[in-house]
Amino acid sequence: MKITGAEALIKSLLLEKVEVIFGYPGGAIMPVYDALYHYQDKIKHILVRHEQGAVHAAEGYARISRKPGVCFTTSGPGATNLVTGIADAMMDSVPLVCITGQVASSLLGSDAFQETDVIGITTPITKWNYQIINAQEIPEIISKAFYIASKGRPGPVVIDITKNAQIEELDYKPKKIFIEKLEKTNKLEKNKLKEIAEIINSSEKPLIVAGHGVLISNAENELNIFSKKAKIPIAVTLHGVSSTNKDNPYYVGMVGMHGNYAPNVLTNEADLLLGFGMRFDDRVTGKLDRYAKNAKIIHVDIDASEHNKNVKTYFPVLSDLKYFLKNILPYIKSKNRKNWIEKFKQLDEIEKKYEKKRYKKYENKITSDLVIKKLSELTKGKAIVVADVGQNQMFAARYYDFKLNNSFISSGGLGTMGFSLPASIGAKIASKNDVYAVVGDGGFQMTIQELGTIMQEKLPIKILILNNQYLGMVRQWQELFFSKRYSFTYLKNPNFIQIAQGYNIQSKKINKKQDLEKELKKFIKSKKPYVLEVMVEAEHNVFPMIPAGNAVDEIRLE
Amino acid sequence: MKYQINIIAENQQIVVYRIINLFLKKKIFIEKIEANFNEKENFSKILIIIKNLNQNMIETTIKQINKIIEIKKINYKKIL
Ligand SMILES: Cc1ncc(C[n+]2csc(CCOP(=O)(O)OP(=O)(O)O)c2C)c(N)n1
Ligand SMILES: [Mg+2]
Repeated sequence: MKITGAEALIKSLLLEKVEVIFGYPGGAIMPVYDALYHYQDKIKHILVRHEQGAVHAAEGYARISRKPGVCFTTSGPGATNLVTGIADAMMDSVPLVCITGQVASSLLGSDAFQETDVIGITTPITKWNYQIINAQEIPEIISKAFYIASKGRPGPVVIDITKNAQIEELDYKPKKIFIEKLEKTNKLEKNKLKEIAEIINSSEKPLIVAGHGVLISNAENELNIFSKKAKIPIAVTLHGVSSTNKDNPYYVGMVGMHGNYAPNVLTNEADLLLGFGMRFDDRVTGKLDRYAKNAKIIHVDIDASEHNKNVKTYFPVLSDLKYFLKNILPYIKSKNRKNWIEKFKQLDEIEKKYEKKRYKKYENKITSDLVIKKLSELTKGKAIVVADVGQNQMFAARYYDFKLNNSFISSGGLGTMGFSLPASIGAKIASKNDVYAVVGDGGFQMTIQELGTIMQEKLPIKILILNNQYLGMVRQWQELFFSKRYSFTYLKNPNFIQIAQGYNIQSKKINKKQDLEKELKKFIKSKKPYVLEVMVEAEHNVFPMIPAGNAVDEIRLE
Repeated sequence: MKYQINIIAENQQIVVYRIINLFLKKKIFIEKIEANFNEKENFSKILIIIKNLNQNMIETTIKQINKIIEIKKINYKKIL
C-alpha cells in the first residue's frame, strides 16, 4: 500500500500506541498535520501556546503515564523552542519522542527559510537523534525512536523529518525494532546477590537513598517491602519524594540541599549507603569529599556510567531496581537497628523545634509551607502535585504528604522555571487524579500563556500561585550569602486574577490567613480549572539548607 | 596519562560528532582522532588518543561514550 511519509508517521505512532501529541504547527511540518487531520478520532492533539509548553507537557504526560511523551513542532524556531524541555528531559531521564519538521533535503545547508541544524543543536541533550531525509526510513526510525526513548534509562529522542520525506510516498509496512545493545537483560548471579545481602545484613547503620529510578522501574512496593523486612531507614531524593511515604515507619525524609535535617546529617554517620536509582547529584551530596565517608556505598542503577561517576562505590550493581529488589529480598535478614532509627527521630525533633519557632514568628501570616500543609490535609495527600522551581518547589516537596505513588513531579536536574504549568497539562491528560500546579509568581510568568491551552482543552487543573513578589529562592540566597543585597529579584507583578479571567478561568486572590482554609476548600472542590493566588510572606526562607559547597552535615536549621 | 581508545560503530557520520561533543563538554584534550568509514562492511573504525586523564575519569568517559547508540564496541588502553 502506497501512502505518504506523513501518513506513515501517524501510522507508526499508532503502532507505538501513542494516544496524545503535544504540538504546534508550521510550514515545515504541514504535511504531517494534514495527515493527522484524518486520524483525529484515533489520536489526540493538544495545541499548546509555545513549543516549550509542548515539550514540558509531554514530560508531564510521560512521567505520570510512564510512557514516552510525544511532541510535534515545525522547523527553525519551532524546534529551537523545544531545547529547554529536551535538556530538562535528558537531565531527569524522561522518555520523549520529539518530531520536528525540517526544510526539504535539497535545501539542507543552504540557510533556507526556517532551517536550523536541529541535529547539531540537540545532540548533546538527547539520548538519540536522527534526521529522516526519505520517506522509506520512517517506519523503522520511529519504532527505533520509541524503543530508545523508553528502554533502560529513559531519555529524549529527536527525529527531524525533511519536508520532502513527509510528502513522498512509500510502500508502508509496519515495523517493530529492537536494539541488541539495549536489550541486555539483567543477570544477577546468586553469589553476587548473597555477597551484597551479607554486606546489608551485617551493617549496623544502613541508609537507603531512593531516587527517581524507583518510580521509573515501578519498584515502590518492592522498596517498601525491602526496607520493612531489613529494618532500614529510607531517605528520598527530590524525584524520589513520592516513591514511599510516611506510612512506612522507616521513612526518614528527603536528602539534599533543602532536605530534612536527620537524613542529611546521618548520611555522614551511616556505615552503609544504599543508592537506589539515584545519581549522587551535587544537590544531594553537598561537598563531595565529605560525603558519606564512613559508609560503604552500594549503588544500584541501570546506567553503568553513573557508577563511580561522582562517589566511589564499594559495590556497583548494574540492574533494573525492581528486578534487583525482588531477587535480593530472599537473602535479606531482619535486624534490630532500634538505636540507629531512634537517632533519626531525635534529629527530627530538633528540626521540628526550629519549625515551631518559625511558626510562632509568622503566627498571623500566610507562609508557603502552611499553604502546602493545608492543601495536603484537605486533599488527604491524594493528589498529583506538579511543582515549579524555587522556594515553592521545595515547600511542595517537603510539606505535601504524598500518599499516591508517582504523584510528585518537578524539574530537578535542570531546575527549569516555567515547567509546572505546561507539565501539569500533560499530567492531567495522563491521570484521572486531581492535579495541582504549584508555582511561584516568577515561574508562572515564564509559561503563563499555557492558560490558553488549559482553557481550550477544558482541563480541570488547579493552579496554586505562591506569590511572594520575589524570585524567592534567589532572594533567599541574597539574604543569606550576599548580605541582603536584593539585586534584581523584586517582581512587580501583573493582576493574575484578571489574566485568569481573560482566559475564562475561575480565580481568586487571598491575603488573609483567616481566608486560607475556606478558599482552599472551594479551590479543591471545583471541577473546573482554577487559579488561586495566595499572597505569602515575602522574606520567608526554606530551611533546613545546605549552603552550596558545604558538607551534608553542615546543614543549617535557620 | 595518555590513552588510546578503539571504537567500532555503525557507519554514520554523526558518531564522530557525538564523541567530540562529549570530550568538549568534559574538557578532555583530544590529541588525535581518526575515523575510517568502511562502506562495504557497513561499519566504521574510530581511533582516538586523549591525554591528561586519571583512571576514574577515563572509565566514566568510556562508559559515557559507550552509551552512544551507534557504537558497537569500545575498548581502551594506557599508552604512556
Ligand atoms: C529558567 C530559569 N531561569 C532562572 C532560574 C534561576 N532561579 C531559580 S529559583 C528562581 C526564583 C523563582 O522565583 P519564583 O518563581 O517566584 O518562585 P519562588 O522561589 O519565589 O517560590 C530563579 C530565578 C531558573 N531556575 N530557571
Ligand atoms: Mg516568587
